[in-house]
Amino acid sequence: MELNEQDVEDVAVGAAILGSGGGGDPYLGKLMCLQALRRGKRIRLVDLEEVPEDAFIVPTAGMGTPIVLVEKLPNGSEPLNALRILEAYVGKKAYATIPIEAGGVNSTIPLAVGALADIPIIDGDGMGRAFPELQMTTFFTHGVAVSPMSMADEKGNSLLISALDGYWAEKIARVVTIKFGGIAWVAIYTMTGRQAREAVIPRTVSLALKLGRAVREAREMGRSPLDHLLHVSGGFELFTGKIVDVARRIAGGFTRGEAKIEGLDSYRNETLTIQFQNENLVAVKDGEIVASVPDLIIVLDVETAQPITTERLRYGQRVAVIGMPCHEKWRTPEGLKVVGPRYFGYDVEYVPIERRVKGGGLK
Amino acid sequence: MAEKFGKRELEDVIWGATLLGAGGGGSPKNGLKLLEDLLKASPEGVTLISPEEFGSEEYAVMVAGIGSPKVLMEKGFGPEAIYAFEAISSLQALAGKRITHLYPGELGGFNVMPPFYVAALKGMPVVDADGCGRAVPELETTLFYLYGIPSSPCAMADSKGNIVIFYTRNPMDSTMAENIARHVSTAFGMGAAFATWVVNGEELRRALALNTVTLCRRVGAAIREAKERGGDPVRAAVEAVGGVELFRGKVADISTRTVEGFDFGRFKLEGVGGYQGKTLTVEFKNENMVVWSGEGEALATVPDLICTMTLNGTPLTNADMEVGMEIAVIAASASEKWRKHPEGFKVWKHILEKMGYTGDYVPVK
Amino acid sequence: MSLRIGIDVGSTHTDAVIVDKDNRLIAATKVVTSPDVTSGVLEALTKIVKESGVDPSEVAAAMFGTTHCLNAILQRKDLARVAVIRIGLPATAAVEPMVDWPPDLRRAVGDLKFLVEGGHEYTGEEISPLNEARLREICREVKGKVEAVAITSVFSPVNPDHEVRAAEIVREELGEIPVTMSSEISTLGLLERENSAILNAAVTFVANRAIQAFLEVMRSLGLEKAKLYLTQNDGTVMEAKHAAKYPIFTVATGATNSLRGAQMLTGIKDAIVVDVGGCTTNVGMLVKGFPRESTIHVEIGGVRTNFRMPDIFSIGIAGGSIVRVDDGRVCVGPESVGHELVKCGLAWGGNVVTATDVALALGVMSIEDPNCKPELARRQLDPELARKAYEIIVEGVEYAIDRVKTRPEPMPVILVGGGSLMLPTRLRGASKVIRPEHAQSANAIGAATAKTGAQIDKAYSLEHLSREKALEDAKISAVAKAVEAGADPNTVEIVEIEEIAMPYLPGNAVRIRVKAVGEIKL
Repeated sequence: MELNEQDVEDVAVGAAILGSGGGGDPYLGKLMCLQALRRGKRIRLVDLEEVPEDAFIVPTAGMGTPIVLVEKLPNGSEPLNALRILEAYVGKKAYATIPIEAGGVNSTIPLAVGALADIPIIDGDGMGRAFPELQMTTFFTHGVAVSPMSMADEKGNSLLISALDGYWAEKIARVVTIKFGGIAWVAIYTMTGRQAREAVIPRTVSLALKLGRAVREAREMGRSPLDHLLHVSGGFELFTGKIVDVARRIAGGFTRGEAKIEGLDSYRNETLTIQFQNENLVAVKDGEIVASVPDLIIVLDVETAQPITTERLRYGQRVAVIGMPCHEKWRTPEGLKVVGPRYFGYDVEYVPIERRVKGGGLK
Repeated sequence: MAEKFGKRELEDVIWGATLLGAGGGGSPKNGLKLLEDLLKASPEGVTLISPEEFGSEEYAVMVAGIGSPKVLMEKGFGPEAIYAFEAISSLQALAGKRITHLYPGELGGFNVMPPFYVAALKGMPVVDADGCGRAVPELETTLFYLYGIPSSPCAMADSKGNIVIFYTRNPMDSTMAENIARHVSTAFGMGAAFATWVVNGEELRRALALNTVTLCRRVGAAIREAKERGGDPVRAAVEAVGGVELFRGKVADISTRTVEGFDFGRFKLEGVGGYQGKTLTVEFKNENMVVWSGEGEALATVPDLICTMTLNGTPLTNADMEVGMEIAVIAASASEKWRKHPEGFKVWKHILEKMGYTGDYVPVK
Repeated sequence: MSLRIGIDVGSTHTDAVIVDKDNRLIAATKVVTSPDVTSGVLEALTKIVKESGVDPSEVAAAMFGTTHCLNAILQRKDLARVAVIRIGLPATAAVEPMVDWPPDLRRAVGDLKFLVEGGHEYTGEEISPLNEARLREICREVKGKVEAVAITSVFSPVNPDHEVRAAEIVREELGEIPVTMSSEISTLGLLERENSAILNAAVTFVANRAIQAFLEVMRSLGLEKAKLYLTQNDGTVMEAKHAAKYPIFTVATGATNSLRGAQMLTGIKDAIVVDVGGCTTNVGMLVKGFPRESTIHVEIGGVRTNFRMPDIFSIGIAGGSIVRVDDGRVCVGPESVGHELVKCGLAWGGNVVTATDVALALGVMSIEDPNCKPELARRQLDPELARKAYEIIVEGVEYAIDRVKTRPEPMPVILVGGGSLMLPTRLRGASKVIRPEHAQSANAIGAATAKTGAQIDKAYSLEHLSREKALEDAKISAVAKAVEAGADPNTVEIVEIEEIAMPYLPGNAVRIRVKAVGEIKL
């Protein structure tokens, strides 16, 4: 399927929802896509099933500091250079690219890369949402090597890394990113079609599209975007209320925080607390965990269903908190070791959200 | 004429290269250590061929170390060079260039050795030439830069086998290459090897300083033999390089300072023997750049070589120099490739200016 | 010469006041805002000078809070064609200027965009040298086709050199054309800063025209000795020539004037201010005497910008809001009769049920107007409907107050604006509700009593500069800019310093924002 401008806008909204409070703003990738489309390029999504076994799949992303990302915008050739140098090293042409994360800043960039490089984008990704660290991908948990990976800057310099493991790849990449002025465009986690079938979380781009479209169409029809979103996402309404407190502290270079929400309407007299570190990690209602990572905990404006990132949470906002199940790939012991509550410091067993929200669905 | 360089020859090369390193080029201690490992792998040594014997359709690459000498000393060196060499070789093979030879990027007590080490392990010959005819502080102060040999692509590796290959947009942009290389070397813990500047026979003869390995050996042998005979090793060195003796004196002072992130240094000598009562000052940035007489006259500048050795015959790098040592300063002409090129002096000016020297090139008489 | 005139353009009414040197109100008047804005302003000015009987030569300054620039942007009218120059190649080419602008606005500013080599890295080093030859080429290309130029360079808040040089070249090639440098408009965030710069350039023509019109009338009223100021988004004023350069800083003055007026009338420096107009009620917060500013990007006319704007929460409930029953549910607004209240409202013999009618009917307010007859409203309004509608009005305001608060603790609430009389003296979330005298002229009073000020927002790398030096540089820049805006150098003080560490940037970077304020030079 091909995406048009409206689809790109919808995907960006949906990706922000899947960002689970973090991930960065899909805005930049969206703009790159719009410009590419207006220049006659095409954004072609391809289903995982259609990918040949021996195809060479190259995920692409931007990495570096958000502040530089919103200032020194890309010139469009970087992802292409990263792609080419990798193709030259490996000796194969890329069949398709794919996002590493479905939520956040890197959800929309690969769509632009595909358009500029004239290759399709696989409808899927490596997280099904956004996560803060590079190894938190199903690619990684399914044994896909981080390297060889390539990096490019806007001046036309490019670099290839063949590292022993992910740790070394990230270490080198980070240093190079600084040298490249704070931002680098990477091609990483290359895999074959066969590996992709195992490792990719399927249909997440079209999921983002579906979610974004649901919110927009509901608004256009004068219906409740929140209701429509819940209906379409298979998610669960966890709470609605007013934020009465947001506390943040910096620990180990990360911003950790907690938002307290006082229930409204049917949740009157109840309190929900969300703890976050970039992304929302756990939601606790009256002392009991109602949702935890790796499931998606999403905070939305109660009127417009626009997602609110953790850095935008403020006193007084009227919000709805919904939960969506993560992909089953994360529910395996290997998956939970990487992104389960314990990794983030919560000494609790992971319980899938469907089981926590008994009965589930709309209240 | 192809020749087998074994233990004796390569030791002489190391000491000769230390002298021609003009104050830099890495420590001979590290060079000798690498030689030990080389001989373990290949006891008969390495074949050296002359520039003329190297074919126009054949390809050679240089391999060098990068990082901190201290780390080099502690960690050792070896696998880095192999990994870097293999990486650049596979890459160039994809482009249709099969690399079959190696050569040193510069002359120096350590840096002359990595290509020999790789050559020994790979059973390949080394070509009697190098990229500078001396040691140099920056990628822009090389004959590669002057004569248009691109530094891109460049392969880097650490001892574990982590490999980075980078391409600069402008293949001649050595500053960018150097920047990237230094950054990557920090990720590699300040100890790594890099391989680049692939040349064929025609390019090698056109751009590189020729027959410099054998020159190093001649110098090293002359010094050694003088010492063995009980003669004057300094005189022997001067003759072997075809240079002039500038001074003999005691090191009175060595100081270093950092200007805009660069380490500059200066050492001062107080004359001994026939030079009693006189002083001499040398400014260096890794390698020695300019030498001033006690009256403030510039006696020699880069690209010519300002070399130092102890009076009893040990070539010195600035890192190994200590206050109180009695040393000789020898000036020798740079390879004619430097002197023939119109910008041969110009590429050094930015360093000299930071040292307060704004004058012209002072050729060795 | 000690009198000051303040004029503020609202959505329904344009207010004017005269204050003396002790900030005491001497006269106040109100006219209906004209569609072209200017006539209404001139009418109000003329009216207040004539009605107050003051000697024009006693007037030292006239401060105008106008919506010319905002209207021009919203209506896409009278905008200058702008040559948009972005300096940053080879970077930034993947997202052109104005790529997600509404097409009509893009067309209205001429849709002329150029990318040029140059710009800086976050360290302050060049991305590429500035391509001066290309800049000159661009100037030749746009000569005669544009009325203004907007220049944005990558990381210019860290290093504005290329913008400065580019502006020089533009002036050499194109003469006296308004040139906006993005580093003088806002902070990090290329697209938002670029958009802000483009909008600024686009409204220079409108701003100038308004200023000329004001000057004309001032002359005709004998006020030629008085200095002209425009009010800015942060609650201070700037001299006309400064305003001509930075007109975009005037787009949110209505809200800030009411906040500053509330402060002036009550002396309270930290409070929530509820400004009830004809169509909307705007709620903001006073922090240390100045309007609290928004920390996120603000959309103007459909375009993302990031220059500092007051943090205002608006609801569509105000004096003229129409009350109706929809499907059994009582609704108040957002439709409003605006200034037609005195014609259409029930209490004036009309047949539209308005919020004011509800308040009059319930007896919670009275209006001094012989034509206003509360009994008319009471007779035609079902008491249950009135009660429910009033509940909605109050709840709406309480909701807005809650949205503006940052903490649950109750805060003082100051009510201003023509429609504020209809609100009760007790509101949820308010520690006390204050209705100052002259509340309906609060906006104009805010304008008349304003100080002059300026802000700078720059990024510094602490690699080669100590934190103290960076702070000093920022303070000096802010003070200089305040003086440029018209502040008396002897009275300028730093009222706000904000240091935002940027820990994710290597090189120890920090963003410093400084606000300097001083008395106007009388």
